[in-house]
Amino acid sequence: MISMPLFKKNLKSNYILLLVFMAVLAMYFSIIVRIYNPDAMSLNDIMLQMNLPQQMIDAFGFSVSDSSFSGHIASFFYGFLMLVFPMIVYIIISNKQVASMVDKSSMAYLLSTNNSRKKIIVTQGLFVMFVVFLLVLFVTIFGSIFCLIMFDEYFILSEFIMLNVGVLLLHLAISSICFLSSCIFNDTKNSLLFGAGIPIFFILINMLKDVSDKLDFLKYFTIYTLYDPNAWINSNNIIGSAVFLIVVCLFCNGFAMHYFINKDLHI
Amino acid sequence: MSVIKVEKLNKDYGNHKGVFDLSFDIERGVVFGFLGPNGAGKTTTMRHLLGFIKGDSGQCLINDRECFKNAALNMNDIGYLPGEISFFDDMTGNAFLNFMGEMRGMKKFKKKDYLIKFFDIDTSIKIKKMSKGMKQKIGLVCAFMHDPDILILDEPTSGLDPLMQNKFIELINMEKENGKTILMSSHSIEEVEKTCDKVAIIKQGRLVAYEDVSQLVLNRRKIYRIKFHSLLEVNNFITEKINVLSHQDSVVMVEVFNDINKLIDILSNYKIVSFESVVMSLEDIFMTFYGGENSD
Repeated sequence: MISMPLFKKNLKSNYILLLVFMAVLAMYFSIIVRIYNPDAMSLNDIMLQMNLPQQMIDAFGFSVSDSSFSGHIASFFYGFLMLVFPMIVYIIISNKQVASMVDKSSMAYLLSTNNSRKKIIVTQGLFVMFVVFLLVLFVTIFGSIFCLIMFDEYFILSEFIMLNVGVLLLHLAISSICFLSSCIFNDTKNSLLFGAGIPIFFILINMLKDVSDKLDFLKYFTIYTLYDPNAWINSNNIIGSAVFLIVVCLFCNGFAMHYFINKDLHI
Repeated sequence: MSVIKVEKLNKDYGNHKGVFDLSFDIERGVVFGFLGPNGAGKTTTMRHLLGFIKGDSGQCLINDRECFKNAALNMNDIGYLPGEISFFDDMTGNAFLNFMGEMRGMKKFKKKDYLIKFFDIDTSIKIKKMSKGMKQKIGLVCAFMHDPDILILDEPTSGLDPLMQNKFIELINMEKENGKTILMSSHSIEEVEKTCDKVAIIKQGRLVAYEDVSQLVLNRRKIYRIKFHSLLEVNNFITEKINVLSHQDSVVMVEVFNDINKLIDILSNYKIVSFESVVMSLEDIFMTFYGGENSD
């Protein structure tokens, strides 16, 4: 069903990027966890004291109502950092998987072997999903261990896992949009225009909508609305958005592969 | 039995680009040269055969199998050298060839090792550091190493130095002896002469000529540039029974059909400084071959 040599090659040519971003995620995660002070006032207040405008704090999702440890992580790490860093990784990798190879004609070599287009594209698509999975899994494992060491008494594993299940589904859905763009377009330029443009547009809208109540309607224009970290901690009203994210992921990946299998390749 | 068959293939990209009503077939064991200027549709035709693109109408068959739908199956028998060399840059030559071998599920790497020695390649270098000619050689090894029955080679000698071009011709003739069917595109009539049995000329997506190479060689017109020692000799020479195209100062251009001995005999009476054949473009050659009938 998939080509193992190709999967291995993907891993080989991307592992440095993955390691770098894992290190970055680990670093930010530890900083965020370490600034948690259960006795202090909310961090929102601390930031206000630092003379940061409230709107800016809101834009980065740092305004917290839930002052529990899980709530702290949910707002500060899963409100922005955990949304952006994995996104950068799969934007880069999605483009490399298909569009860049078609652009540079190196896809011709893959297709001149006795592997069907279906096999090649399923391998490439699964690799993107694998990357998303790996990053979230890494944060889950690293995070759990780190939190257990630092704040054993406040850390609730089940809540943390739910937080990550949610972000996994979110990233699977967004990465499928990047992959779709990579499969449709024959050059890196257009692939990135949509494959990077759409996720970045979503995240900008997501930041903007928090700035003012008047901009609240913007939540209908970004996929990030489907991931509310605080809702996932409490497993509150998550079925609907979970189903929607899974549908987006399946549809985009399915359509991407179907499109690639049938299109003309000028390679 | 035809191994490769193209029937009334059409693919219109607009602006007279593409291929139009193209038909030809290649029998087993034949080396088939595909000639034509840039943008004539050679690569497009090859992409159809490899199943990379679908024609608007008509069909392409390899071993009686439709090419687009059966691309992966057909690839068991095909070795392909793309016209544009672009591999996976971050790999060494050897890593790339091994990767391609794994992708194909190859078990035996004897032919790969043989070819690396044959072309004298240093495969330990990263591909992005290689010169164009070296990359081309890696591409050739990649196309031949799994010992396929059919070879589709898009401008195989581009970037190769004359020595390696000869090596390539040697390789093609070896493969021909082993009964391989080869389709190769080229700009060079000399190369085609030395390797191919049949030749097709394509121009603006249409087949304009389809001949046995032996015929082509027989009827070949050649032009020579001769530089004489003195103007006096030039003046004498142009009165000889020979087809002089032009002369300027001590240089004379002469046209010869088939028999060069006559010219050599005559020249033996003169003192000449240099004697060289003029490289003719494909168009020139085929215009003379077809008596200029397709000289639009």
